[in-house]
Amino acid sequence: MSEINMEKLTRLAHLQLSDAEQTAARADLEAIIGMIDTFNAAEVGDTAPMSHPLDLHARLRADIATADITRETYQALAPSAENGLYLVPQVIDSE
Amino acid sequence: MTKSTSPQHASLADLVKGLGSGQFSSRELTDEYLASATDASHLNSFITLCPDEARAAADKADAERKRGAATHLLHGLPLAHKDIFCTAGVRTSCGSKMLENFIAPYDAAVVERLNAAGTIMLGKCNMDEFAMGSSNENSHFGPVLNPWDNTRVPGGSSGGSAAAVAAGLTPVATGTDTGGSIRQPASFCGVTGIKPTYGRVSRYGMIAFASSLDQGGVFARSADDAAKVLATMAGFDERDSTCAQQNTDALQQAAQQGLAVPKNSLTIGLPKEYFQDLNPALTQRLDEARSLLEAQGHTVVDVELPNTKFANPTYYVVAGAEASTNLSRYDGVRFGHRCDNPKDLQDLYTRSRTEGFGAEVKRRILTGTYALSVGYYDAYFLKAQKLRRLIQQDFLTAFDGGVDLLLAPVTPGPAFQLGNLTSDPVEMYQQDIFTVPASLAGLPAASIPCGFVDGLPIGMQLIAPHFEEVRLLELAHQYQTLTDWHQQQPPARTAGGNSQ
Amino acid sequence: MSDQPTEDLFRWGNWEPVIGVEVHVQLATNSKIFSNSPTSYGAEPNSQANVIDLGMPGVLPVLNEGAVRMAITFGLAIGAQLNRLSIFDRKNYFYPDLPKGYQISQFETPIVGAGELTFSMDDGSERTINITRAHLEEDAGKSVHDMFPGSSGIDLNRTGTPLLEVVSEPELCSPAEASAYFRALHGLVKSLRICDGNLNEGSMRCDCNVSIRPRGQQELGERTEIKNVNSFRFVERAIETEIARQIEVLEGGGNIRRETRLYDPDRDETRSMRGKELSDDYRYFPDPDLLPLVLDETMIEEMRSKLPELPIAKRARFVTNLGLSEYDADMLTRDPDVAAYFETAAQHAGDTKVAANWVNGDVAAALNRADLAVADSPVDAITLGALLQRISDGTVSGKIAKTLFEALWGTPTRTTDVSAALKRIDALIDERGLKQVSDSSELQGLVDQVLADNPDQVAQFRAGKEKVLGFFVGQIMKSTQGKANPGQLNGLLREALKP
Repeated sequence: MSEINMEKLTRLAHLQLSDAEQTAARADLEAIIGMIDTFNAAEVGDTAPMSHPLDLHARLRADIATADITRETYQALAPSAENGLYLVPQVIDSE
Repeated sequence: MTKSTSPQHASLADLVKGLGSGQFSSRELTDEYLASATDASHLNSFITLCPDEARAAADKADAERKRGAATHLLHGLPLAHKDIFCTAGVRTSCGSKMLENFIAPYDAAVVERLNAAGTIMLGKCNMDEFAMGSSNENSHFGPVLNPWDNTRVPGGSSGGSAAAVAAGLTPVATGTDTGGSIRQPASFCGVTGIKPTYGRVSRYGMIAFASSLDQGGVFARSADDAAKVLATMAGFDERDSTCAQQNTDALQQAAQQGLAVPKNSLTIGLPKEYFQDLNPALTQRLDEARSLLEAQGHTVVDVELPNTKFANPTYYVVAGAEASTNLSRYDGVRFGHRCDNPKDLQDLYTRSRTEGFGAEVKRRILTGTYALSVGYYDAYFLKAQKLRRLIQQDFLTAFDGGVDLLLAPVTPGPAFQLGNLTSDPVEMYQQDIFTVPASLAGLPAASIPCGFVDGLPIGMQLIAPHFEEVRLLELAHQYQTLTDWHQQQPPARTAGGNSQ
Repeated sequence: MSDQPTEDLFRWGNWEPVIGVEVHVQLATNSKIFSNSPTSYGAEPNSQANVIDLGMPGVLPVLNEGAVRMAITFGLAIGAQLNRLSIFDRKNYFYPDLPKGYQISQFETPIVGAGELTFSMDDGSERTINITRAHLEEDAGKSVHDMFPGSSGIDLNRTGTPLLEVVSEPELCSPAEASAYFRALHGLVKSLRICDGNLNEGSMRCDCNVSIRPRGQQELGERTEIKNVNSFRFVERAIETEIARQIEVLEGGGNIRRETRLYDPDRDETRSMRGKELSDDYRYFPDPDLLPLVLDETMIEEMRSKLPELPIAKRARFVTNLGLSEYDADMLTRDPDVAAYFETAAQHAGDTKVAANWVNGDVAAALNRADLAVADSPVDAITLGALLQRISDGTVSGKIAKTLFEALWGTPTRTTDVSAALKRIDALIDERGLKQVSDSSELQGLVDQVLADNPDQVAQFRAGKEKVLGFFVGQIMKSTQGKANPGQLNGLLREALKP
C-alpha cells in the first residue's frame, strides 16, 4: 500500500472531513486497504476481468419516445427549483 | 386467537387458506400485523409504517375478493419492503439522512409486481444506510434490535426485514443482498432468507449500492413461503439491462403447488475452506444438518474453492468502486438532502454529501474512489475483477464436477452484541466472508435456520448453480419437513434488551 | 486536382501547428440513448427529462437501438473497423449539468474504430484525415446563467441525448483544414441522416486540440483544448487566434498550460475556463448497469445495404455523369440538402451546368443574404428547375430569369408539380411582359432600324472593329427592355453587317 492521499480522495468524492475525522478515516482506510492487499498473494495471470456475473450482452431498446414526464412532480422533490429550472449556486464559466 | 393458531406465525399457505375460506379478512390480518408492529416498536424494524395506506389496500383487497377478483396467490397478504425499494407515495429513505424526505414518484419493479399481485404493504423496513453494513447499526434511523436478544444486532443490511419476520410483525419481507445482506440477518434472526441468482429479480427502482452485485430477495418463515413470494418478484424486466430473460416456470409451479422435495438424491458439496477454524458449535450444527440430509439419500462430498480467501478483499474493492460512483447522484440538486446556504457550487456538493451520508457510507465511497483512481486501478479494481472470475470459476468447476448444491456456514457465529464491532470496520467486514463469494459469482444462495448456538439462532447456507433456485428451495423444504428450527419463535420481549 | 495545399503554411514563421478535433455529433434518434424520453430541441426546461435522465435513485439505463444503428452507419461510411464488442464506461466528475455524477461513455473499447475522411479544400486540393475512433456517449444538460441573481438554473432536457464523438488524429495542419474537415464531417453525417446538422442548435460541437512546435521537431508541444465551437468559421478563427496566442506565449518565454479554453467570437479570442471542474482523474470503469454491446452481423449488413450515396461519390458522379466542374461538384455536395436541391432543379432545368451555376450562384447568394437554409428556400427546387427550363427553351434570357427569380423569391411557395410551377412562371412572364422576342421578322425589323440609325458604327464594324457588335446588341436590348433573344439577335446582326 502506498500513501493514501486523503486530500485527493475527499476532493474527488466531494466529502469534507475535519482534522480529527480525517485522521480516523485515514486509519480506517489503511486498515481496509491492508485487508484488501491480502489479495496480492493471488496469482491472476491473464484471467479476463469480470464486470458482470452473467455472460450476457446488451439488450437494445426500440427507439421510441414513450416517457411519461411530470416535471412538477419531479421538481417537488428538489431542494430548490424555479421556473422549471433546478437552482444551484452560480456556475462560473460554463459553456 | 391463541398463540398456536395466531396468523402472525402462520405459514403463507395457511394465510392463503384462511383468506380464501373467509376465516379472516385481509383487513383483520393487516390490523393484527400493524398492532404487533406497533407493540414491537422497540425493535425499530420499521423506518416507516403505513397503517392508513395498508388498511385502505386491505379493504380494497377484501372487496376484490368478494367480487371474485382475488386471482393471485398472494392476494390480500400483508408484507413489508426493505426501505431500499422505491414506493410511489411512501418515503424511501434507504436508511440515510440523504433521503430522509425522499418520496419516489415511481415504484420499484419488485413493488410493482407485488402490488399487482394484491399484496398489502405494511411499511418500510429499517436497514443499514444504502445497504452498507452487517449489523444494521449504520442506519440513520437507529439500530434494529435482534428479537431473540435485544442486546444483539439482527445482522445487516436488511436487518429490519429479518427482525420483522422473526418477530411476527409481517409474514414475509423483501430484502436485498449485495454481499450477504439477506443471508446474514436471516441467519442471525432465525428466518429463511434467499438471494436469487443475479439477474433473476429486476433492480429497477431498487436503490443501487453495487450494481453488479445487488439482488432483491425475500425473508420468510419457510422455504415454501419464500418460493411463493420469489415467484412473484422474479422475471424479466426490460427496464433493467442486467435482468435475465430466464423463464420462471419452475418457480411459478413451486409457488402454486407448494414446494416438492428433491425428486432425486443430490450431491451436496462442502467447501472445505468454509469450515477451517469454524466456531465448533456452528460446525456441529452443520454436521447435524449434513447427517440429516445424508439420511435422506443425498450424497455429501468435500469440494475445494481455493480462491475463497480472496473473496472478501475482492468484494470490498468491487462493491466500493461501484458504490463510490452510484452515490455521486446525491449532490443536493434534484432531490435529497441539501445543506443550508451553500456559498458556492463546491460547497453545495461537499456539505450536502458530508451532512447526508453516515460514516460507513463515506468509508466505502473513499475506498472505492481509491481503488478506481489513477495509479491504483490495475492493482485494485482490475485485480479484483480478475479474481472475481477466478472465484466464480471455482464454483462452476465444483458444479461441473457433479455437485448439485453447496452447503456452508452463513456467518462465522451467531448474532453479536450491539456496538461490539462498530469501532473496527475490518472486523465488521469479516462477518461477510462466507456470503460474499456467492455474491461475486452471482449464484443463488439462502440461509436456512439449522439450530442454535449459544442460545441464538443460526443458519446454514445453501448455494446453487445459476437459476437453480427451485433445486435449492426444494432441498431446504425437505430439510424443513424434518426439522422445526425455522418455526422457532423469539420471546415476546427479551430480558436483556429493554427498549433503549 | 492538386494534392499540395496552396494555403501559406509558413505564415507562422518557424512554428508549426498540430491540430486534432473531436466532434460531438448529436444523433437524430427519437428517444434518448439510455431512456425513453424525447430528444426534440427547444422544449420547456426539464419537460423532456424523465426519472432516468434526472438520475433518480434506483432507475437504470437501457441502450437505444437507434443510436447503435446510427453509429454503425457512420462507421461503415468512413470505412472503419466496427468493434464487434464494445463497452460503456462511467466517466466520473461532478457538474450540475451531469445529474448522475458520471457520464456514460465509451473509453477503452469504442463502437467505431479507425477510419478516414476525404474532402476538398477551397483551393481544390484534396485531403484525407485519419479518424482515430468514434464512440457513443450521453450528452449533458445546460446551465442558464442570467435568470436568477447569484444562481444558475439547470435544464436537463438535453441530458441523455445520444452523441457520437468522432475523434480525428492530430494531423490537421491549419485552421482552414480543421474547418474543412468539420464541414466535411457535417456533410457526411447529414447525408447519412444520422444528425440534423443544425449547428446553431448545437447538433454538432467541435473541441479543437491545438499545439505548436518548432518546425521540424518531432515531439509535440503542450496542447490546449478549445471547447464547444459550433460553426465552420469559428473553428477556423478559434484555432487561428489560439495559434497566435501560443506563439506569443512561447516567444515571450512562457509555457503553455494544458487547459480547456473557450472561444469568444465577439472578441475573437480564447480564454481559460476556470469554473469547469477539471478533474485529473475521471476514474473510468465499465458501467455495471450496462452489459457489453455486441454487434450483430445482420444489423451491420442491413445498415450497409441502406447506406445512401456518400458526398464523395456524389461529387464524382456530378463530375463524370453531369459534366460539372470539380469546383461546382464540390460546392454542391458539401451539404446534402444543397445537392438534393440541385438535382431536383437540374432534372427540370434542361441544362445541368446552368442549374449548377444558379444553385452555387444566385440561389446561394440569396439564401446567404436571408440567412436561410436551402431546405427553407422561398424558391423551391422544382420552381427553380421550371424557371431554368424557360431559359433553355428560349422563353426568357438569363438576365430576365434573374428578375423572375426575385419575383418568385418574394412570394414563397412549395410545389412538387413542375407543370404548376411552369404555369406560375409563364403567368408571371405574361403579366410583366417579359417574354423574349424570338420572332425573326420582329427582330429583323429592329436590326434594320438600328443599322440605319447608326451608319458610323456600321462602317467601323465593317472596317474590322468587331467590338462594335456589342453596341448594336446593347441598343436593341435597351429598346426591348432586355427581351430580345440574344442568340438569335447576334445571328441576325452578323448577317446584316456582312459587307
